[in-house]
Amino acid sequence: MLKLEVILFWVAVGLYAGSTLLYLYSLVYGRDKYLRPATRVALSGIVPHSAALIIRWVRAGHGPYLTYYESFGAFSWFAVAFFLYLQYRNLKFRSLGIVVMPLSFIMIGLAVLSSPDILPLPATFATYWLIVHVIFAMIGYGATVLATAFGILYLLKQRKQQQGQEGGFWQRIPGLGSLDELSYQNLAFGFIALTIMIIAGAIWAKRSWGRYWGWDPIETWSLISWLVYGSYLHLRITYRWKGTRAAWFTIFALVVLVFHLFGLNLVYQGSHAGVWLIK
Amino acid sequence: MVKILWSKLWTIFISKKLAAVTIIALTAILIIGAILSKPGIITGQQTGLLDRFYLSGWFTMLIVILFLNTLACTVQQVKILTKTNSGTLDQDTLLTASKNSFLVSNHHEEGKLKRLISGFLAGKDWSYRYQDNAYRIDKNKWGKYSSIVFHISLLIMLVGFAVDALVSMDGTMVITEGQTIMDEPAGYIYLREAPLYGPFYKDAGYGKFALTLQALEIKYPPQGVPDDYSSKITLSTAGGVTRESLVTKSQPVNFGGVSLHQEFYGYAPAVVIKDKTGKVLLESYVNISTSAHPASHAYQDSFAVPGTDLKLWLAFFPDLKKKAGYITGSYQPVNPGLQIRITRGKQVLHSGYAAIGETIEFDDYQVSFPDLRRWSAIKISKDPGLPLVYTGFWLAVAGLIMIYLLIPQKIYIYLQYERDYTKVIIGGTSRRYPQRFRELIAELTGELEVFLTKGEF
Repeated sequence: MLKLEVILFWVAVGLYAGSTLLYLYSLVYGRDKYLRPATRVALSGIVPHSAALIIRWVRAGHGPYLTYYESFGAFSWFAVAFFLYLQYRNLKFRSLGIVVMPLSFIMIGLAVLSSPDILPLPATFATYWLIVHVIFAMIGYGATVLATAFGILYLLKQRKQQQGQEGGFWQRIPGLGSLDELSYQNLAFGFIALTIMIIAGAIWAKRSWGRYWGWDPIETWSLISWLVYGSYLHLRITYRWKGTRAAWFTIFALVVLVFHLFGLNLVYQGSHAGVWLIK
Repeated sequence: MVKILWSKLWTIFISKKLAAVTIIALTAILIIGAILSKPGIITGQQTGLLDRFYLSGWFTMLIVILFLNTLACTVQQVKILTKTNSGTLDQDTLLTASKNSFLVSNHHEEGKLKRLISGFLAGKDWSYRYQDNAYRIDKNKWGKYSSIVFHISLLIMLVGFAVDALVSMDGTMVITEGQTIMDEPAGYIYLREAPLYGPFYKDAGYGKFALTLQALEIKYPPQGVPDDYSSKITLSTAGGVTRESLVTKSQPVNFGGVSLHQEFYGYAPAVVIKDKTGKVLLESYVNISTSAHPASHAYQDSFAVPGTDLKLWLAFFPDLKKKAGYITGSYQPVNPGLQIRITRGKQVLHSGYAAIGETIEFDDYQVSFPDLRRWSAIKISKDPGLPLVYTGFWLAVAGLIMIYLLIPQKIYIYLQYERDYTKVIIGGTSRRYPQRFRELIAELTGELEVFLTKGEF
């Protein structure tokens, strides 16, 4: 079963790579006719990806959130699934693939390069609060990544407009105003999902260790990420930070989030041995 | 005077700028704190300062300001929305809102046009109100409360945390299998009471239960130290109710506002010491800290024997094996053994090993190791704020659903009757995402125009 799981993961990696190339080709050469095949390739990639995750879930006896291998695989799946769902609702979202697919490809690539060993679930992890914590983390991170993707598209489209080269691919994506609002909408949604994630984590900590909050680096940085997103929302409402400034802010916020998720364990060794921080 | 002061304070606390500035300040402070807390950045006495960083008065004050600001803004928002809700959309707003229009000829009677528009709206499953020649559609009207629901959830959770910080207690009971401990300060080896815990509970907050440990259950992995263990307990409450429960690492036991959490565990060898007359000097289970150590080591403890000048030093081996010296083969109690050393001052009176059931004799004393049990450390906390935290959590979930699914939009279709034609004006207002709302209105206009002008019109 391990062999089948790894093969399926690699098939998904290949298909996501193909989809990424098609999206990037569309972007660089302004050829929007490749957008549709790029989506189809992504759609065919999520099938083996889903199968690999299901096999993993059955083999491990718990959800894919404990190791880097499982978590990156799940993050990537959520990103592609959410992206495809958005496209299903509105074809305008197809252009998001130029940001989402490369990110998903990198994440699933990191997953397959990590150890596929199955680790037993520690006793303190056997609670439904962890499931709530992880699900809302995935939703929140997915939404904030999408918010940044819209922010990047905003900046790129704005640049093309200033250069007077807004043909082909750039005509197909929503207008600047809509991109700005889509970024804001996803960020607001992601912010609340992150709130629920943090609170579910605090309740889990209370139930497992008898305290809500310990100010360990992971907890502190998750609060910092949350406050950064909170700052965005309040700057937008109070100081009318929209458009270019808001788009740059989403990129900055994502850098903080990425540091919180992936960089922290390199700086603070052995802290908060939780969820997918187990290598 | 009080009114003026209150008015000034209110103006300060309903400021959204205050919220933005406080959040940014809090973020900056946390980043500095997080960087400073990295090992190696600061040392010595400064570390003590940092430990108190998040508990300092000024940091707490910042949180309090944010809380009051959120509370005031939420109240203000409720006021505004209630006011907006009670009024109706006036004609000026209708005509100045984002709008689109088209003309339909008047060669059919007025009623037919209205019936068609009603049918169009019914097809979209939109409910409407017709008044003053305008169809008014209030889509997702509850959505305007989503931000308020979310902010209220934050406030409730913060109140829950604050209640716990002020009137909670937590302590640790170390209990051996078969033992019963009362809920009273002497029963805890560690006890922390929040500043208002005593005044909050009229009965001083104790005497709620008696705890008996029936057994400590451990799941042994093939190798290494067990991670999963649980305490089978009996709780007898003051009201005479007795209940049996299992406290595990992931599942605390909750009853009447009290939570019991599984912490550490270990072995408790029984030690009996008698003098030459057969008088029992010590008969006790000795709780030896075993859970935190790797399995290859013995677990040690030492103490003075009551009523004598002797000192007893014990090392416990769950699975005693002799190699170069004595070691334990595994963590499981396969062959429990006790290394016993008895000293008087610096003089060693006896040093040797005893298997379970054995007795060793020296000078005028007997030391025996008749039994082996386990002990469990159970953390007990009384948190009156916990229900508030749960309530806040579920409200936050509701806020999330509302913010995603209920985007409030007011749409109107206004019929302006002229002599030869009727002008159909479509417009509306949306607090959120105005750009996409304008696109929606444009799409709706096109759709309605096609619907009305094909066929009869």
